[in-house]
Amino acid sequence: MGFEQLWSNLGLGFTVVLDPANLFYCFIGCLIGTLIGVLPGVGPVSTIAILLPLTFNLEPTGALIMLAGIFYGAQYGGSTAAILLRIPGESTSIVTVLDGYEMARQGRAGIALGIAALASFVAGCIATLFVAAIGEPLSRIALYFGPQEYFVLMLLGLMLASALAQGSVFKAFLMVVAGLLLSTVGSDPETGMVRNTMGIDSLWDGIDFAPLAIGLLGLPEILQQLAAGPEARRITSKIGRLLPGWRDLRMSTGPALRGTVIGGFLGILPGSGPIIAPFASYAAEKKLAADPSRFGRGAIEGVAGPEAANNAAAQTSFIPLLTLGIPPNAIMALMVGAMMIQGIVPGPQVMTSNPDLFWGVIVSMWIGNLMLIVINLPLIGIWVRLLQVPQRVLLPAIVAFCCIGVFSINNSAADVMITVGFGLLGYLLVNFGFEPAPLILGFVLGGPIEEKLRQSLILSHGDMLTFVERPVSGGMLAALGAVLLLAIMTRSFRKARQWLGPTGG
Amino acid sequence: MIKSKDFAGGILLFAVGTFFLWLSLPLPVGSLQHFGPGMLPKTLSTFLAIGGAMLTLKAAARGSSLLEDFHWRPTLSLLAAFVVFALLIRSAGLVVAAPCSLTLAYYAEGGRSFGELAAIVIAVTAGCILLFKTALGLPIPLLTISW
Repeated sequence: MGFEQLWSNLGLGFTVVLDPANLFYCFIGCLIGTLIGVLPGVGPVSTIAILLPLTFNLEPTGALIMLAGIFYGAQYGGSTAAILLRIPGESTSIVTVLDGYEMARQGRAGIALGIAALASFVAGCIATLFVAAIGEPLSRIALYFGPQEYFVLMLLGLMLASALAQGSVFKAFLMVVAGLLLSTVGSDPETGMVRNTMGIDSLWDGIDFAPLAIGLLGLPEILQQLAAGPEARRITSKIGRLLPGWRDLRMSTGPALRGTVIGGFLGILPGSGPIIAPFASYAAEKKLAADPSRFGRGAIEGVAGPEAANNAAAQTSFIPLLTLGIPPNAIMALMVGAMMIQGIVPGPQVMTSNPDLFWGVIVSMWIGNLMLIVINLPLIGIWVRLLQVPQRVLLPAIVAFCCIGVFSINNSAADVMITVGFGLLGYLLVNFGFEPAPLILGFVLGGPIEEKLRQSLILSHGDMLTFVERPVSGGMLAALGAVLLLAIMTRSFRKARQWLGPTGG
Repeated sequence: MIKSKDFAGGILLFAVGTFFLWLSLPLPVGSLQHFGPGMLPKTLSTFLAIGGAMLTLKAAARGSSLLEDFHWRPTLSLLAAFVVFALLIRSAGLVVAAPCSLTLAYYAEGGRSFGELAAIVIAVTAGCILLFKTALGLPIPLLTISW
């Protein structure tokens, strides 16, 4: 593929995104994403889950553009809470807390927020180009995959997701199994026989994605906020100037670019790539710094690098989703859910069958980042005030919003009850130290995995060796073995994180 | 030991696994070449049950981190807010369901001021109507009872 092709594709993307309606969805997405994401303790995953119903009535491209906007907004909101309150919205902003909050204490909160947005934007620009360039060739290769390759690839994705999970690998694996099991509920794809519906009619076409996602990902976070009880929130200092000076910019350029590369690479990996990315970038900057002791005391590099890594990883994690249809993490699993509800089966064919959607989403990543800078940053005063609104006012509003959102999808009160059931299950699981994210991943991949496994075995007349004998799938199985090695390696990552993150939580 | 995370979590997964295994008992397994509807549900639920049992046994033998305190009262009142909404949305409509749900959620959160509650109820209900009815045009029943 030549450069002209790339430009013409990006051009198509721009015409899609610059359509006033889509621009509006992108804007709204960034705005409400920040609005919810800035609330302490509410990370991007639950923000997207909670806001999912809003997008169901849009046309597919608009819906995905809005969801992507929500994602970036939520991430930026998380950084805002981290810098101003020392409360990381979720694990990706734990690192930002270290130096960002110190900067805020030194009266440079505005600069920290500004550099976070700018570094994210730079990373976003580069990563968008990268996604656009690598997307087409990858999805071309994927068109030659048979069911065996797809099956092994998805298996690989699930294994990596549990191996790179935050807590115990075994527990994450069990969550994947539980997700796969839940995906089998409903009528059997071949015989139409009804499976495990417990006599509930509305489960005949399977468990709906939105109640599951909102129940398992959204409710436990709301409940944990409740359990934490009312807390005194104080913004430590004035925001001050937003735009960093030349000296700050010069100091941040290197870290931001390195962060982009680190994050861009880690983001493609299934599992917690985006979660590891900021840690890796922070560790790298600390190693490279002339005076490492400045880190943790308000070093601007410690904000620029991780924030860039964070955003680049967020962007490149779209690659496996858009090209192979395989979500590498829970956020992308939510995107898959949204696509399926829109009637689009994610996979390499999306690029040819819905080019406007494919390129529109890619370009919207860039536009979304631009919006964060142009629109969101000047609104920082509003977000700060929002941080000071007491929980007892915000949480009921979120609850009502979730209720109506879930109900509105199918006009079904039963869906709200199912959400409650999954909410309770999610609360228990989180309390027992399980992460619900791998479950969502297993649930989303369950249907395709079953389909490809069946197809493979029909083709091979029931011979399991077919997965090993075909060169590509055999190679991928070998990679699966390498996952075990990676799992051991992540232990050292985890140690690094413990060392880095005494402020986490 | 019994109060450890893995012990309790293992039991939960074991229960879910065996329950699903029991549910899928009547489903035919088929053969490797032609999967029946029961092949994956049975395999996966067995995995889950065994995995859960292993987790519990391991926690019993070696221990694991202790459970945090459950906050049953706020948790249950918040879940009740959802249930109340589900029960009222069709029979009474949004104008009744949302305020009831908001009230429960507000008290779950430890709010005590009636004036504040009234302000939340009016603002959020109006906001949701504007967003979901006016802006998105969804067919949500507003008021289905008449006196």
